[in-house]
Amino acid sequence: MEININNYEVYVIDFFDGMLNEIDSANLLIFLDQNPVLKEEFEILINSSKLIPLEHNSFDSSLLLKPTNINVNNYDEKLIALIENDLSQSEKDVLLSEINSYPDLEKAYELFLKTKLIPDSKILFKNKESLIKTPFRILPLYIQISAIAALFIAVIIVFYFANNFNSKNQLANNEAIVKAKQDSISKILKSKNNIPIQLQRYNEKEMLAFGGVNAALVKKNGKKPMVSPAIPLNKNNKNLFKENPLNNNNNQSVTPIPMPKKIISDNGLINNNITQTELPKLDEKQALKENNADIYLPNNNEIAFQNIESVNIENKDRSLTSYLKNQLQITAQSEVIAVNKPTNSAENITLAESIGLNVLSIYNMVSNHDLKVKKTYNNDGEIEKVRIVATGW
Amino acid sequence: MTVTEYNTCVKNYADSVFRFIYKNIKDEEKAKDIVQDTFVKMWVKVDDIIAEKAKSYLFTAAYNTMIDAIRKDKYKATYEDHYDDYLTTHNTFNDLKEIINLAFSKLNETQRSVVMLRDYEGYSYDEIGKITGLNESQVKVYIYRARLSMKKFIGSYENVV
Repeated sequence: MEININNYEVYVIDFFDGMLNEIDSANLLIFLDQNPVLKEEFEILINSSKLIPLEHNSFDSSLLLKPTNINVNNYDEKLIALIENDLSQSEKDVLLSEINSYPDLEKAYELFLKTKLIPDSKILFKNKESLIKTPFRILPLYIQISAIAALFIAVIIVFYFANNFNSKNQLANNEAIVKAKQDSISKILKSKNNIPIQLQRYNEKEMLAFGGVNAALVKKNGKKPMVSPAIPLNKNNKNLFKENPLNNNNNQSVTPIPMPKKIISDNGLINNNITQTELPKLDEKQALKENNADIYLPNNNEIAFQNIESVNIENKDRSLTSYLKNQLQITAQSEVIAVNKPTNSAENITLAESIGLNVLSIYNMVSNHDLKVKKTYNNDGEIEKVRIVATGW
Repeated sequence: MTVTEYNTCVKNYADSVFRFIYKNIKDEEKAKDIVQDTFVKMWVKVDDIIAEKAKSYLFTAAYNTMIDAIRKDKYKATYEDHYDDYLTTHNTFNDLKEIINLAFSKLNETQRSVVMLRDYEGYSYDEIGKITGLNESQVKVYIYRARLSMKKFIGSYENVV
């Protein structure tokens, strides 16, 4: 195609791109010679588009217009691609040969090689052990909850059985302690003759009766007795409560009923006319023992009264009766044994019979000074002897 | 992934991950924290992670954690100040390594990350893209620009020296 004013610009561009062959290049130069104005513009264009080499790099000028795979415009990219291993083998070979041919290119390549980082082996993570995990797996949440619930139930069961076991042990210990105390009490209460006393076990009502005629009185009458009874013991240290004293089938009020007592008297008949010298003296101890009695009533020789308590005519209801019943434990059921009954005067009322009959009679006799009571205390303050003496019959 | 495989990952990759984070943020203590957090996250998902992909998981998690920390602007100043202070006190570099480290410090966090993943761990553009959330072309551009920047920096200092 002939170059003219309408198409010369295309040829000029191709010329600068290096795409114009020698014939067309020559034709373009001829056209420009024929058109001085256009030639002047062409020369200006050539001067302004000339590539300026890098400041510290100088390449062979043959690279400026060399239509190869590497030139001044793309040598950085090509070298980086070479470093990144992004080129094919043939491209690598060509590029490496050109690197070897051009020192500046080689220098650039070396600088790019320095940009490839090398790991610093001195930079290490210390304390890797803190990251190590033990060889167990994380249990699912439902398994964790189930395990906790099972453990909680097991703890409750163990605690329950342990509590029961302790209670049983405690009960056994308590029984052992009670038995030990009973044994010790038995030892304490041994008689002088080393006769052991067998304590009986009473239930609550029995204990109420045992410990208290007073308590019974309180219950029944609401009155507090003036004296509190001690456990009556005779000379033979016999517990006067031999059996369950309760005899209340109705179970209404607790009325203590002391065991009937055996009262012996060496002279059932009080007779002023009988003097001591005339009557045989009865050995008190022997008499008690032989008759298995509890109280010994001597003859009327005991005139002098000491420690007569609660003999008060004005308060006779409370005093004497209480005294006789509480202190002497003498009731209508008490058995009185009369020994050495006087043989004369059948009309005389025996003391024993009077005592055995009812307390009222006794009271009357006491109030009339016919019956007097004498108590003897031992060193422990307990009643050692009790004598009831009737006079003036 | 089994516990044994997890422990193997700890032994094999803890140093690499730490080096990757530390070279980025230049704060040893924070780098340790990030590494520990990374492995904790991995342990939590130990049943879901395949052993063959454990390394990429570690670097991905570590990179994301690091980026979050960097975006708080706690470390940028520290990183630049580190080398700026160095330059004010040192007029010359006696060690090429120092020049390279300084050139590396001039890159942004993304360029630093992709270059380290490429050079330290040998990841491909695609793998780096998955770790950093970039596509393959972006990774390539970041690497090329990073190398060019470092090459110019190194060249200028070498000429001065």
